[in-house]
Amino acid sequence: MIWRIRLVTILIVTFFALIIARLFYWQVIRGGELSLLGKKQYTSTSILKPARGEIETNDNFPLVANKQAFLLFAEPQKIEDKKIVARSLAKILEIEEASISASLNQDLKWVPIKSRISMPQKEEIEKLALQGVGFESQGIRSYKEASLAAHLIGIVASDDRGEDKGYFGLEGYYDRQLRGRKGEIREFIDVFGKPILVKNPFTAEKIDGRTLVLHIDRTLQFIVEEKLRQGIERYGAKGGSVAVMEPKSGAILALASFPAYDPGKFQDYDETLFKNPFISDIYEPGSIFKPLIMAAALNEDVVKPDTVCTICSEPINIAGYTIRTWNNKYYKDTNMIKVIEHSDNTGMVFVSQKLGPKKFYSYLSAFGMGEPTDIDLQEESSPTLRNQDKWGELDTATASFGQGVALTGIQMLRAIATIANGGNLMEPHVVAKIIDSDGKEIVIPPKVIRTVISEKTAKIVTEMMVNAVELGEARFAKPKGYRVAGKTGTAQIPIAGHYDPNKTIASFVGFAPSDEPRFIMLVKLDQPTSSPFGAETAAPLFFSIAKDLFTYYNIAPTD
Amino acid sequence: MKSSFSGNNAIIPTIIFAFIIMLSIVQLLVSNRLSTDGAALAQLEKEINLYKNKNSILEDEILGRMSLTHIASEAAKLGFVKEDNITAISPATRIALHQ
Repeated sequence: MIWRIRLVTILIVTFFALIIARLFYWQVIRGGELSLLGKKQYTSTSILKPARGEIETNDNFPLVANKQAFLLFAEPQKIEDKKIVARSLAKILEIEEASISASLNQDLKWVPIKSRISMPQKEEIEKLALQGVGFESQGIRSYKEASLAAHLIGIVASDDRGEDKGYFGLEGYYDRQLRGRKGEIREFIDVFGKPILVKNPFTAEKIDGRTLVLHIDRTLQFIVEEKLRQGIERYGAKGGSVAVMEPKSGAILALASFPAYDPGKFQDYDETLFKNPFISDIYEPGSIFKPLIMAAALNEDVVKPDTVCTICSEPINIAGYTIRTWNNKYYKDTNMIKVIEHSDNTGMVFVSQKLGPKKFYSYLSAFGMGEPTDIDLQEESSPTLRNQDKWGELDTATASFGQGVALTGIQMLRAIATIANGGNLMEPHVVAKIIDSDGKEIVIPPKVIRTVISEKTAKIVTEMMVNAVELGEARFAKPKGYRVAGKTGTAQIPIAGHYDPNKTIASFVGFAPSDEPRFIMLVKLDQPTSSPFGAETAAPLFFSIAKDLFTYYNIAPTD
Repeated sequence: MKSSFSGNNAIIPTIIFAFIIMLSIVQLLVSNRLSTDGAALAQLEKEINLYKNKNSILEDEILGRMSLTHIASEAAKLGFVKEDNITAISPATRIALHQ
């Protein structure tokens, strides 16, 4: 009898021991794993994508905004009749049925079908009530002015993690400011996926990207692009650039280059077009460089406006090379004013000799050669300035008229602006202010890099440039009644150690009104075929744009 | 020996027991209510997203019409042309004679 009681006791104890062991196994050993599985069932984590910041012109018009789009995805394992689904989607999305079928037939839980679907397409697909098909919200960039200011804006593409990232221009330079920060919300859900309000859900606030407000004037940009396009066609040029800047502050008011591209469809264009040639292409400026060397010499008081050139009556021989004027005309006893007026290369050699190699080199550096301008656009280039000990007599001579020295368009514009604003080298800026998602504004103030020449020197060179416009080769294109300070340039293009005799870069740089300049502008035409000369191509284009600017800014003629 | 649950001593455990039952009932009612709130919340979120999408589409359309590209195109269709001859009037210019 006693052995039966003991047997039952042992069985009961064993039974409970087994249960406890099993409970220990599930709750302790496999506890962590089951807890996670449970959380997956009753919690849902949503990533809150921030809106990318907008880019606005100075009138607060969003040049670049965001538009709602959708990523269409499928869950192949939930789709019964893949053929019907593929056919229905192909019809609406206008893509090959075979490519959709291929995606649906993959042994995966989730496959993307097509991204950037518009709202109307989404609604059409939703009406079909297809099982196993869903949408994820996507923000895409919207360009309301089409390809206006494409090189300034840049593009937004996916990086190697599939995240949106800005490249080139403002999108590239200010990518971190524009992209914002993701948020997260983790909440409890019921069996139908609806939220349960039993606990405070974990949230990490998303921060939308900041908005950039530019100095760019939308109307000016429109005028400049239209005129540049017409000019390139009229003069048979390969391409061209125009930049307009406020000389006192360095604010970029307009910047256009062609050929350009549509940032909304950048995939359809060659990637060589994405770089902004005005800030990345290096070229020898030619005669538009002359006012800088003249300003240096006047500032150092080694010449005066009425100083007579003693070597200008004939071509000059230096180190076995002959330096001639552009039209082979030589003016005996010419003075410095006439040197700029006639764009006299021999006169500039005289000036460089008076300045001396040491001071010549120091002024090149002072005017910003060999250093980037730090303009707030991605992909700026800056050619290095050779060490002074590598400069010979011939180098200094040719550099005095803008050959043998290389720079970018923005470096050239910034340097000439020192003459327009009384002697200060400014840092050029496209963005005026940055506004965060709370509305707080961060204003970017103008920045003076250094003072290069005195105000007096700047005024003298300004008058020389006004004289060059009034009496020089470009005088026929100038609008009546306005005092414009300017200089033409016709630079030869170096190819394989020599200069191409037929191809040039024609340019004109100028500012107006000369006494109190509202704007400075550089026009650059690449290899014009109607005429190689700046006076016959870039200068008329400059004045055509300037005429519109005078009207836009209500600048009345003074003469 | 007296029972610990006899007389006045039985009231306190009874009150505690009744309080626990009441709290359980309240929790049941609240949970029941909350379980349907989630569905209402999801519905509200859906409506908010719908209005956000509609606003986004309208905003996009408005900006399109405000763009200079669109205005220039419409102006050209309406026959507007650019005036190149602009006369500036200075103070020295006589506009009208007072007689």
